[in-house]
Amino acid sequence: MIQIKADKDRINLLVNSVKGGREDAFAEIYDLFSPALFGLIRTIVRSEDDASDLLQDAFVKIWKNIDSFNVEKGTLFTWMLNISRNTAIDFLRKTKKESNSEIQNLSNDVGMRSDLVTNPETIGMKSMLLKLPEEQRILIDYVYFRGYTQSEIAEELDMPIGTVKTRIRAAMGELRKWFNLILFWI
Amino acid sequence: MVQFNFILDIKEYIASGIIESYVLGSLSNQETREVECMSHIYPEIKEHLVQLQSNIEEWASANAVIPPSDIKSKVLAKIKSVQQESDVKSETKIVSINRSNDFFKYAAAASVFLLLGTAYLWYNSSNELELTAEQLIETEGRLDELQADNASLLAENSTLDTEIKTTNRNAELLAQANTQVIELKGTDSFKESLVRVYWNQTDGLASFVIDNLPEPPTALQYQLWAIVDGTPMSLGVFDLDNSQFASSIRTINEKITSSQAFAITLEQLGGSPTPNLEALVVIGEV
Repeated sequence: MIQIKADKDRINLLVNSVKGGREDAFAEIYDLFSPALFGLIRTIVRSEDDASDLLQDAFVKIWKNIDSFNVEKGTLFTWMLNISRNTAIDFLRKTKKESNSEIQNLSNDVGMRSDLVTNPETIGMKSMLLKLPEEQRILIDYVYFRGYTQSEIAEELDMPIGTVKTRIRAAMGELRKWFNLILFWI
Repeated sequence: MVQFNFILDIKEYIASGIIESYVLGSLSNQETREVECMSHIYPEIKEHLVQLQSNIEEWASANAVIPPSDIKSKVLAKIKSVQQESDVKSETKIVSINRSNDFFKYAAAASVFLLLGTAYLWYNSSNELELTAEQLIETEGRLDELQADNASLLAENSTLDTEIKTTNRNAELLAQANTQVIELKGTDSFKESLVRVYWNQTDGLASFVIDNLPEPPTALQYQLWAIVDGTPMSLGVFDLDNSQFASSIRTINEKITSSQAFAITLEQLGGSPTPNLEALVVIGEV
């Protein structure tokens, strides 16, 4: 997992420089964010070549429209993700009209696992777990990663099985919302 | 007179999933503005929105893939030939237009949404205040008022958009080096009158500014002329525009490639093919 290691102040400084037309600041923004944007575009269009082209398009748009970004509206990262997402989706819509064959689309997946999207590793399941309350997180860990049944958990943790069920249901609810959001978003 | 406290049920708003829809980009323009508005006003709503966006950012980081190494230099090369688009606001300084209605737009929109939201929630909840029939009727009355306000603000907004487009075109004209200014001064009967014409001979575009013209007599209308090779060419009729938001720079639709003078006369309504030289109001030589 590639962390974006730059604090808010640095990013604000870079943004202002880019607004002033500084290409070196833009190069640094590229270094910081291009992997995340590339990963996103690639996931959406499912083709390495197209993703490369679209990544360029996205960055050109970011450069061109940087003046319309301001910190009050949200983070730079989210703003750039949205630009990348829109670029990729527009591309998909355009090419979908041109190609009718479902099979042809699938054959573009050379080198990409078809379960890429639903792979929990990819989806960042582990990072999402960190957002759950501790009590839920522990249970998910037992259920999902260690394969315990609910009654085995109840015994192991000396908890009433009713509580185990309730907490797992709550955790699943949170995760499902999150998964759904991401799955709909990409 | 019943006092209302408009309390939006924030939990219900969040639970409705509208913020998720905003993040997915599946809302209409109006709903999008509503969510942004609510997020601006209510910290809890903003927090939920920030949380969702942060989740997506985390996913994106987890999903990151280093792109092919040649892309960076391609991007840096491409941006050299792309101009950054700067905010339009900073360029239209020629005519100042009242743009503070943004706040009123937001406030009006927010109050309509608040009212709608509250009315809806009150209909549906059993734990909230008990509404009497009288209160319901008052609520509907206020809703009508707010909707009317909102409608008129939207209309003003579209007028402003047109104003801004016209201003931009005129600002371009004024900024060009080969634009001349021709002062049309008043004749004896119109000593105080003054009109300025801005004319770019290279591309033929022109505009004019009414510095001072009196209200025309009831049956008559102002008509603008260019004198081309001794012959008057009509540039159309016009009225004085007293609306608060009128840009004072008027565009001339005809292209003018050559002219020795510009003049304004008073003609019958709808104009005349040749000018009535006894009703000359202002005139200026190039």
